[in-house]
Formats: sequence, structure tokens, C-alpha cells
Amino acid sequence: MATYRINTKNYSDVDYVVGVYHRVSHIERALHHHCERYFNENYRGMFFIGKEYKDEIFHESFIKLWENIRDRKIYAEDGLLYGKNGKSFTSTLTTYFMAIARLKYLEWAREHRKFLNTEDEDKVCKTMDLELYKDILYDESDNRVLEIIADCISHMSERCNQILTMFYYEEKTLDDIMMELPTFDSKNALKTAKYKCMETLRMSAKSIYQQYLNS
Amino acid sequence: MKIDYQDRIDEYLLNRMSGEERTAFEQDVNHDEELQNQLSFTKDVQQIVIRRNEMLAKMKQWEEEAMGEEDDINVAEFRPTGSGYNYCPAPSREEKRPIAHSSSRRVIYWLSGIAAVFVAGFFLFQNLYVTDTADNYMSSMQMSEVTLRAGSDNSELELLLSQKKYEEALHWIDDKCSMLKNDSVELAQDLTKDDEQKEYDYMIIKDKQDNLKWLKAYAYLCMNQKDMALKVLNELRSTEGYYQMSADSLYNQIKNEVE
Repeated sequence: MATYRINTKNYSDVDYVVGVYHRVSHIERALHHHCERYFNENYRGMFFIGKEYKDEIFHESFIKLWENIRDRKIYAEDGLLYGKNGKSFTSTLTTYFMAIARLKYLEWAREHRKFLNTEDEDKVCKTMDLELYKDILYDESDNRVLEIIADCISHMSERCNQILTMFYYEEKTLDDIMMELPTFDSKNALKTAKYKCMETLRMSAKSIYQQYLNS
Repeated sequence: MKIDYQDRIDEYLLNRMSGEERTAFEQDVNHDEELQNQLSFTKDVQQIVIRRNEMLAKMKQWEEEAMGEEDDINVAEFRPTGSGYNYCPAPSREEKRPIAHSSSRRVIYWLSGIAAVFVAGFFLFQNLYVTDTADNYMSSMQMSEVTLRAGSDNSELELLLSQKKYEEALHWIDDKCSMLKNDSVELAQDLTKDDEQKEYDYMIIKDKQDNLKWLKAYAYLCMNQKDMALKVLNELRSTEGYYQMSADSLYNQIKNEVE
């Protein structure tokens, strides 16, 4: 992630949301830059983390914000912003973004326990994931399964991420993938690995969804 | 989830089935709830993976573009208010605009630069030329408190040398040397002192004379009068004394350079 400043115009929060929802490329970029700058200036006040992981958290958080705008979980109407369940937005977009970043950090920290401080450890261990998530990441929309799957995908192992990206995004055949990932000595081994990734993903998403319904 | 289903589902979603195969698969989906669920889940995964990777690719592209625009730094347009993380817009600032350089202005800048180099060079070389000789031998001359062994007696000479008033310094040294010569004559005629006492006083006078000769050589070198300096140094190295070795060394050094 770049830590320098570039010459992009600043917009109001409403302009950002409208522009990103309508997929206006330069506003998407401006919002990315706006959030990146705010994140770089403020993340140290929220958590301590190395540069490599900081970039990862920024990317994951920005994707979440971006998806939320595209999915109209945040939307603009009559010059005002609205969020969860149609309630008017009570914070700035950057504050909302940092709240997502905080959750993404906690997720990351759960996977890297040694980096946790005591306060964070309490939050991760004693609080159900869903309680942390539901205020910001999930709402009552019909897309919640999709959102949960998206979250699970963002936490997949690097290997699963590679396989699924090559298969579904790059649309490569199993033969092509085997050429790039020579650790698989047969097509069946690769097919099994892909299936296990999908199965793990499904089980994780199902578990979180069950928790969500029970809550 | 059945592994057997997954191949067909993937083929279907990636449009790798023929028309007949697609129709057959869709019929199977309608009659098999498990296949239906697995298809739905795989479709979701495919959709999310595509969207996520598109977003990551865009972010990467923006960050690479930002690297290219690094020089075009803009001032921050927002500032913290100090309460929480709320921001308020700062007063707008003028954009940085490139300064227009006319060709005539460029010529003036170039000429000014060249002139500045010449002026600075003139003073630099003039200074080097005047002090060149002395500077070369300064380490040998050891112009320090030790060198000025006459102490407060030579404070006036020291001042003249530091002010680079070498002519005056030489006159002062000559006067001082004459006085010392007179002191020497008077000492020889003095009948009140015994031989041992006289010998000691001669040593003191000789020491002062050597010290003055050493400073004289220094003054000549500062004036770039090497021949005169060599003459004085030759006197110093020819007689036993505090400066004998230093004078010999410096004499040879200058002599070699002259030759």
C-alpha cells in the first residue's frame, strides 16, 4: 500500500457513496486514497501492527467498505447518508471505515495471537464474533450469506486463495493451474485440494450463519 | 457437498459445457436439492472471488499509479479537530502551479550563476595564493603556544602575524633581534655575573633569537619569499637549539620543492 500522497480531489461523503455505487472510477480511486490517508494517519491510535499486515488490513477493510456501498448497505438519499436498516449515518465515512479496520484487525489478531494486547485479547476471546460483526458488517439484508462467505474467503489460506482465484477469477483449467503450482503431482490431487478448500469455506460460513440466526 | 457434483457444477458455471450437457445438468439440478444447494454455494463463491480479485487488482493499479505521481504531492485538505476522529475541512489552499520560466529569464539565471562562480572563485583562489606557501608548511611550522615560546613577550608579534601584517612583523622581529644582540654584548661586558650565570643567560637569549628566527621564516613563507625563508631556516638548522631539527626538516622540504 502506498504511504505517500497523491493529487486526488476530495469529495463529500455523500459524493463518495453515490460515485462508488455508480462505479465511477475516479471517485472509487479518490475514496481509496481518502481512506488510505486517514488510515495511515490514525491506525496507530487503534492498533499496533507491522507494515506488511497493516497493508493487508487496509485492503481487506477497504474491500468491505466498497462492497457495503455497492450492496447499498450504505447509501445516499436527499443528500444524506443512510446505513444499517435505513438509519441515518451517525459518523463520517472514514470513522465507519476505521471501525471496519478495527474488526479486520481483531480477525487478523485472532489468527496471530502473539500480536494481541490484553484488551484486544479479551475482546477476541470473550466476545462472539457475531456480536462484534453484526453492528457493522451484517444487517438484515438478503445478502447476509454472501457477506459471510465473503468474510470467510478473506480469511482463507494462501493456498486455497491461489487455487480458487486461478480457477474462478482467471478461469484457468486444472492443467494450467498444475503448471503454475507444481506441488500438485496429479490432477486428482489438485481437484481434491480445491474441493477441500470449498468444503472448509462452506463449513465456516455455515457455522457463522448459524450463530447469526441464533443471535 | 459431493465431490462428484463439483466437476459438473464448475463446468456449468465456467461455460465449459455443450448445449446438451447444460440442459441435462439443469434438469438434474431441478430434481436434486443437494446439487441445487451446492450449485448455489459455488455460484456465490465464484461471484465473490471475482469481485474480490477485481477490487484487489484495481487497488493495486491505483497504488502503482500513485507511485508514479509521488512527485505531485498535494497538501492535506483535512485536519483533525482534536475530538475523537472527527475531521473538519481546512481552508482551501491554492494549488501548486509550475513556475513559468521565460527564455530570457533562464539566460539571466544562467549568467548570474556563472558570475557567482567566478566571483567566489576569485576570492577563493586569491586567498589560496596568498596563504598557499604558509599553509603547505603550517604543520611543520607548528605555530602554536609551544612555538611562540617567548610567551607574553611575543604577543604583539603574534597579533601582527594573525592579522597577516607580515612586513610589520618582520620589522618588529628585526628590532627585537637587535635588542637581543645588544643584550648579548652587554652580558659579555658584565663583570658582576659569573661564567655559569652568563652561560645560562646566553642560552636564554639564544632561545629567544631562535624563536624569532622561526617566526621570521614563517613570515617570509607567508609572503611567498622562499629564498629568504630558506636563509633563515639554514641559520637555524646550523646551530644547536630547540628548532634545529624542525628547521632542517622544513628547509629540506622547501628545497626539494623548489628544485
